[in-house]
Amino acid sequence: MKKLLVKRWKWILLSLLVVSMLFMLYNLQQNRAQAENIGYAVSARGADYLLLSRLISGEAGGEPYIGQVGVGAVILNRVKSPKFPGTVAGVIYQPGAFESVRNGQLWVQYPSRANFNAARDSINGWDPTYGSLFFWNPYKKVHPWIWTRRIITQLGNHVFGK
Amino acid sequence: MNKRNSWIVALLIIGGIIISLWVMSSRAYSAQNALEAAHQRCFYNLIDRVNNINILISKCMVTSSNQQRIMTLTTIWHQAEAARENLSSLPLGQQDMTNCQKFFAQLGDFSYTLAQKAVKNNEITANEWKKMEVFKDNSATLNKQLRKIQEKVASGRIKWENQTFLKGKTQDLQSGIAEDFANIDQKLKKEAPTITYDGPFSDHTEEIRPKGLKNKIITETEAQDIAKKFIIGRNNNKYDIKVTGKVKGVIPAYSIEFKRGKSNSPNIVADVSKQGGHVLWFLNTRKIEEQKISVDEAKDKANTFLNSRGFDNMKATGYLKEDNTVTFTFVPTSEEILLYPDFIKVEIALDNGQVVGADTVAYYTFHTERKFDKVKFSKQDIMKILSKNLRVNKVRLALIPDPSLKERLCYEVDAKLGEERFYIYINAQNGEEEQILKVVETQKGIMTM
Repeated sequence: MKKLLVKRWKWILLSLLVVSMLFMLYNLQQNRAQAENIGYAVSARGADYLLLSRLISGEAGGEPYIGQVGVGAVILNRVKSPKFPGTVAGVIYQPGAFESVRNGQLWVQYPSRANFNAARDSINGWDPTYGSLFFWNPYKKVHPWIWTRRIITQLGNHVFGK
Repeated sequence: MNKRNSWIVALLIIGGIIISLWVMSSRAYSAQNALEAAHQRCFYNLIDRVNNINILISKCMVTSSNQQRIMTLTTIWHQAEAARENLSSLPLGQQDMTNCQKFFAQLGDFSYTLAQKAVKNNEITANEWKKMEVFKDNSATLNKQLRKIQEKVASGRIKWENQTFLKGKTQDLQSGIAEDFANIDQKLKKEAPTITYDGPFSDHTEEIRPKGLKNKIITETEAQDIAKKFIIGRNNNKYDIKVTGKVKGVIPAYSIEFKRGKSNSPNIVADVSKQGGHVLWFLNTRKIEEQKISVDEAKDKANTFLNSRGFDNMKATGYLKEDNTVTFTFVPTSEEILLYPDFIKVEIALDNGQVVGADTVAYYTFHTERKFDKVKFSKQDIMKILSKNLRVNKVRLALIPDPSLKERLCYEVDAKLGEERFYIYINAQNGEEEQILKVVETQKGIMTM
């Protein structure tokens, strides 16, 4: 066995090379598929729309639709509020603000049709959270001061508060 | 020969592993340095800006020249916005930084409104100067506190929070910066002024009371009946309806869900207000098939829906078509005046024309009997004010909310400059231009920016 390995090392190297090339090609293909997808999904509102959809996917991907709209609404309420940065990107990338930005989940998954719809509904001004500025999962550990916020409603697994 | 070869292979593999580990750790190290540099830049810029703000406020109080005052006030606005941006870029984790943010936002916004006043040659009142004085004192304290933190920062790399990605290397660094900031924030919460003025960040915008609700307080069962009648009709018994929670927002409400058969998630969700028993919004989450009806037909359906639900004199002002649904914005009219603050949104499915969503929160928040004074400017007067380059298509009266949510009676001028379309709002009482919206017409609908 060993003998064979040493004897055929050129072949083994070559096949490794071929496999890695194929892998790279496959990745390229995937990227292209995603790029086409982006062109289809983003029409009028450009960068904010995609970013917001990504955040909804990362933070509330498994939530019911209304909970996803809620998360989108919180981002937009923050943009309008003096208590947070004044742009969508500013709010989303505020250090420590969102778990999915910290752990990179934001970039891993391409948003689903539902995520895009939820982002669109919240951009269109629909706010089932009545101006909430925070949302958190009551079953997970959060910074204690978050619990001092006034809770307004619960949508899916998240509570929303001001 | 064979033995020698396998030794070489083993050495190469071990060498490869060592090299890649070294590359990885040095990359992580330089990435951390780059990040640290970005954070420190924000921190030092923040100190700079707070310092500038403090000096600028005193200058604008001292100056006797109106021009100088306007310049200084707009510079304060600019510096405060920059400080706000710097603050929001610092890695302070989940600490409460909202009061600090609000401090800068209000300071900037307030300075901007004062500058606007000065531009219009309106006098800045003693009370407004007093508020500015408080801002000045706050910024002086803030300056002192930041200088203290700066001593820590100056000692080298900082442990901003308790999490770092390279363990060990950062252990001897200064810690507790995030806590220091949290303390500053709590101090500001107590000391910063409460201010009411004509800007979007004025404190009064947080204390809106709904004006459009009827008086009667309703029970859960009544809420279910109301939702059923409003959304699916009294005689439709296909759904299992129940109250799932209570919402404690601007308008306290019951959350209601409609389930059909054995489906896991609710088919329709809705909120019904406790006071007055109004449906504030609902959403049907069903899948919507290919478009079969036109936008015009959908508009008729939306109109019929609103009329049958007791909303009279509603006018559709815009729509947005997306994914086989179209959402119309309706605005009530009173004495031929469009009441923009009291809008209602209705979403129609384009496969069968069903109403799949509605939002009446703004209507119940702002709608009330309004008394309008006789307008001082006529349509003809407005035409004289307008820029000569414009081709005017239509002029009508409309009530619009200004940034601080105060209502202004204006002429809405629908006009074109070349190929570009604009809505220009001119105050009907004093002839001042209140707002300009650019109208963008796309295949999906008409949007304003």
